Amino acid sequence: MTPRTFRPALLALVVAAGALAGAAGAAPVGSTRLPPDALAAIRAQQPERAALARDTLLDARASLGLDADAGFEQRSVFTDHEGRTVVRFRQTHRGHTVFSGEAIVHVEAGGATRSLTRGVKAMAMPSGEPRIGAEQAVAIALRRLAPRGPLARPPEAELVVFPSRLTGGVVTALDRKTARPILDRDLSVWARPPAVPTVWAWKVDTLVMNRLDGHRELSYVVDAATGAILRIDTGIASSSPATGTGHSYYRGDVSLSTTQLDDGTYELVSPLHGSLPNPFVLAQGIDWTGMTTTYSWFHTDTYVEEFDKYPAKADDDWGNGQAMPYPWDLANFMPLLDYSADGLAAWASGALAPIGETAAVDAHFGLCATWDFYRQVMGRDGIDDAGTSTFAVVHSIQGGQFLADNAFWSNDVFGMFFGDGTAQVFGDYGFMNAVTEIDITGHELTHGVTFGTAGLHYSGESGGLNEATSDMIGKMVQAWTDAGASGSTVPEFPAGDLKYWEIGLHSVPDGRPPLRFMYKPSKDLQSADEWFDGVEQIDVHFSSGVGNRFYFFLAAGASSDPSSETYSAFLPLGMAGIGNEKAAHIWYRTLTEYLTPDSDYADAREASMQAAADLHGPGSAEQLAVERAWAAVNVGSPPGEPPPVRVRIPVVNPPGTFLYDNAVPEGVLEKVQIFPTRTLVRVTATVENTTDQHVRIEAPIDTYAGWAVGVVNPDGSWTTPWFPYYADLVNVRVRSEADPRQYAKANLLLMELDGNTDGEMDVFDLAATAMEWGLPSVVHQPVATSGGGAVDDWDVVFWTQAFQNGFPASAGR
Amino acid sequence: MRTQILVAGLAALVVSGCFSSAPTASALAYTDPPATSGWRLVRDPSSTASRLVLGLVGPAGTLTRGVGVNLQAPRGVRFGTFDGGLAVEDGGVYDLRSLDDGPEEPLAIAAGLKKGNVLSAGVFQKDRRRPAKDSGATLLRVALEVDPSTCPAAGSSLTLTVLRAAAIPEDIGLTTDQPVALARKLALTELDVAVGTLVAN
Repeated sequence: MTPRTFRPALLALVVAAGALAGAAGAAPVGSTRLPPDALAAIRAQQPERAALARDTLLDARASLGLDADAGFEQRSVFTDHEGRTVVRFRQTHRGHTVFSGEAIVHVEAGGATRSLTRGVKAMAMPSGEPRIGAEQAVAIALRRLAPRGPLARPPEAELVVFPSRLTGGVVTALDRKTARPILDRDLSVWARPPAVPTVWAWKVDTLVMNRLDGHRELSYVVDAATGAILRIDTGIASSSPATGTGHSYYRGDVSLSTTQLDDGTYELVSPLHGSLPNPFVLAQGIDWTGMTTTYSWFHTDTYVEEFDKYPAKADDDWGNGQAMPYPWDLANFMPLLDYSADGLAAWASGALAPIGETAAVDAHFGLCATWDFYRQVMGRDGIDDAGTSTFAVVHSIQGGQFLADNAFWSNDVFGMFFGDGTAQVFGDYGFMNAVTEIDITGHELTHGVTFGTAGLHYSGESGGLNEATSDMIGKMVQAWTDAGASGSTVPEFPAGDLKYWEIGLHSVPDGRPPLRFMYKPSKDLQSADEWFDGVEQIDVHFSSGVGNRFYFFLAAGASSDPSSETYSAFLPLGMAGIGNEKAAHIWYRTLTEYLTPDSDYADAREASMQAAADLHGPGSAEQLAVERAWAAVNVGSPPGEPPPVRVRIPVVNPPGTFLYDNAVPEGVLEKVQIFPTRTLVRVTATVENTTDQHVRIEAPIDTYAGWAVGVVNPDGSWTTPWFPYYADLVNVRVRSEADPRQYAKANLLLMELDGNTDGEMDVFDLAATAMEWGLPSVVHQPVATSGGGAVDDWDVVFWTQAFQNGFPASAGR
Repeated sequence: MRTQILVAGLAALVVSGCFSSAPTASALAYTDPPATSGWRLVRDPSSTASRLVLGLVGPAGTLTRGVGVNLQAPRGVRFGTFDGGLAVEDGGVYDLRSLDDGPEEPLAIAAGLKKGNVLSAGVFQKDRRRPAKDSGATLLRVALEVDPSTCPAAGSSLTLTVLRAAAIPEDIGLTTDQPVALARKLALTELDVAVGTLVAN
């Protein structure tokens, strides 16, 4: 193993560091923008200030519980309007990254430092050397990835220190076609966490982009001692100086920042938005600098999805304001492709026609506006604050799906992909129009900012915060753009018109609800209006409801009228909002200066209150508003009130079982408990912060069908229902009788164990599973399957865990 | 403060005592069934004074890919667990891992206690590419102990009952077989297991 080297400390700052030592920990009060020349002088000193920040951390190693092998590698740095330099560091051990270990240091304009070390992992580091090498780790990752098409690039393996508590588990996701929570087999792992606090592990990053596999960016953490896959993360966050004229679909005629080439032709590239080339494209020997909007196609022979710039053209007039219709082969459920002479198959001729440019106009305009918002309002130079260029791909074919109802940010390619939406062909029977509305383009680009700053993991509560952040900023981009896209403040939406707080309002066919409702997220029948134990179990686009509603309350206020959609039972007297401008800056500061990858909603409350104190002073009206807004979504209490009642459903899987060991206590990944169908089980709950321990267990709900499945008796006993299929998710809610507003929810996976259909649930069903294991479904239609396809290890693990949970040997029946 | 109210309520019911003056048993004595060429439950050498471990042994020369048993214990006897918390232990004969999966792959081994004090326990090979194994060895183990809460009388004879035992046979078909033929071969072989005598001491 070769430790990485660090650049030497900058001696020039030793004096300054010593002089500042006494000031460490001091927080500024109030927000003061520095004059441009003073700010420029400080920014010129940014490298030295970053070195000071690192030295501060290195000096603090002992107090942090770290030894001399610990180091800190700079991940990002920027200096805000007040002259505060914010430096984020990756924690290292012997030169290797500590997974999810992070520290932030603020260097104030005057030089005082403040270290934020909550994200530092101060546990025993691994001993010994890795037993398996990078090649073996890559092979293990690729075996799990099982790509059917070609890789977009060779996998990259990095040796890291992995905290065992971050070992993954069972992950659920939303099936976008059925809106049904399903098991995410891409991201779920079944390894037990290592018995020691940390292990050496290989982090293997993979990227595939082809029609057979779709676009997948999966990062595998492989135990360097055992070869077990400990965790899987995705790099995809989904949802959605010439001046040309664009005829957009969503915003009428708009001005577009474009490029006039030497030959007088025009490109849909904005040189004003990005000063460094896009790294993904540059790695292929091509320089795309500036905001570049592209279109995609795929090769019918290799099924590889590709994209390229719109060809330069003589006029600087783009789009025609209409959505591109598709010639559609209804018999084969395929677009009628235009097979060109060079072997490319696409609707390229359609995409390049004016009607096909319309989606590009919307994306280009929205992304440039978002970039301008960050520059003018937040003082940020693009996504990474260094001017690194991004690009947009419109008419995106996602996973071989034409007319994708989705847009997403890809951290791996540092770009965004926008689908055309099924409504383009199926009208009101489709789900979405082209996914390029401005709050969505703002949303997607903000995912890039989040990845580069807080780096919020895209699962559990941190995933909800990630999604909420994109919704919040996406809306602020809309407000700023609606008011003319100028100035450095965020205007208000028209008072009282809640439609402005709906996400993707115009992206759906007439009559269909928008994607999300920030003022009352549960209007979509899926999202959470408030925090509860178990919110980390729901899809991040729904757990974001907690953050979205918090932000709405903070900016626009909460009603005291119980009949209002902006009323919260957790804050019955309501509150006044502090407006978009203040809310936006508080949240931006929270994101960029305080949150870390595994932050949850409680962390976000603490961080945003600190950000408000930074900007407006401790105890200010703004800080109290932040506290109230969080209380209104059941994160903490209103100022001066005792802690709220909490109800929790403990994990009942016995120690040593797969699901018990994979329950991540801090909510990074999800906990799913698993039981047999038609079996007596017992629901238990705990109640905190009250002497009244009584709870009411509501009828469990089948998450697919939406109806109740049986009744839980007052003592918690419940005979699980029978399903005519092999596995389903059921939702159980337990409510406090002392405070009925407080509840906990758990997703249970109910597994039909009678795999051999003899009417009994016993190990002979497992025998049936074993006999059918690995048999291709074309050879044998399996009986003992939970997923409908061939019997595999998921069936084995589900069966054994459900059986042992349903019939524990220690029960003594 | 977190209070597991329902769990605490159940625990309170466990407080009990033996009110009879008759001596109560604390150990189990087991005599193996006569040696035959068939399937038997035999005392395993890992047994201790307070814990009886029984091994399921098959006939030498018979090739199988896994075996399971539904074993009913009488009142006064409870099933114990092994390292890892399972109420069954693999005898080490079968290849439980597949040929190409990683070290974290789940194995087809399970045990659960069903109504009537019936332990359903089994261990199975799942990868058909693995060869079938000779059954003439201990294929799986289960453990039995005196259940002190039931106050069994010392010297009482107890009856262990095998409600069902079955094995995955050597021939489970080929992927080249016709679907109907293959489905027919995906069937367990029922076993007749001889059980010895059990006495509480």
